[in-house]
Amino acid sequence: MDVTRYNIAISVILALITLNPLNGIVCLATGGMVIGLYCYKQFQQSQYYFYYNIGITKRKLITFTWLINIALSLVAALVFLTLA
Amino acid sequence: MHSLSVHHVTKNFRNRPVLTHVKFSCQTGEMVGIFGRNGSGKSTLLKILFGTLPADSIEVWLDATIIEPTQVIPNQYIAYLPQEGFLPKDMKVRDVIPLYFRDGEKQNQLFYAPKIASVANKRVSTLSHGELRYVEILLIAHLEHPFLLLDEPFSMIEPLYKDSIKELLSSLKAKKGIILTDHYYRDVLQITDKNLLMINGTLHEIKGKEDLAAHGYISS
Repeated sequence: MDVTRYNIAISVILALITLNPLNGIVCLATGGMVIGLYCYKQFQQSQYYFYYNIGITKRKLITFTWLINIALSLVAALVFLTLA
Repeated sequence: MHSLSVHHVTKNFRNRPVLTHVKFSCQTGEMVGIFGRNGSGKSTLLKILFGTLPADSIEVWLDATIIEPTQVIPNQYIAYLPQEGFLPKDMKVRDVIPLYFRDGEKQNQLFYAPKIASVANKRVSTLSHGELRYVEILLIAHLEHPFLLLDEPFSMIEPLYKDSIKELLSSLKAKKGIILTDHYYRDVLQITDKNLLMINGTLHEIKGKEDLAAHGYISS
């Protein structure tokens, strides 16, 4: 969830800076996730152990988070296209 | 009864040898203390064993089977307490417990454990260092993993919580094998069955405080 929070913040900022919501939506499913993972590694790396101790590997965690972020970006795209 | 044996652990950082053919073993019902000066490779060894840091060479036996360190996390052979707090800081303790244990009876064991009632409604970020360490150890102690690795469980802990942690670890020994490393040697020696000292990348068995002094880890 923390990676997703970083990703949403980055994507919203990008959408505001470029004045284009589509840039934010694309960022949410792509580069925002990478930057979100980087931020998580920098600021909350020890929290990976929270998941490791219950058998969740980093690969599983990243895959799951990526799927959530792609789903979020699809919802955001649907909302944008409906309103546009 | 389970046994964990580690052989031929070698690790170099940029051509500097940190671990050189380290070997040791631990059984359920046993508590092993590992001492060593800062930078001697204690935490590196624990991370390698947990599978979060690759070794240059390693052989791990769980009972009569060779296992890959990368299988330790998915198969839940070992639980690990890192030096840094690992609980999500914005969550309350009472919300963390159900994430670790779905079984209601297990949850109750945690909620009714000593000292938990006073911290259950606190956010992780507001816990004292002693409270946080105690909650973390309590959580991983109740997991089904047969082995526990604890990196500095006593570091900077107030005496009351230190005693609670020692009691908890001693009570766990019947079911688990515990490997811990800490500079607080008096606390470690009080509860361990076997002790090892890391010198120049290899482990040496020590009998007590005198051996620690003889090897220059503490002043005589």
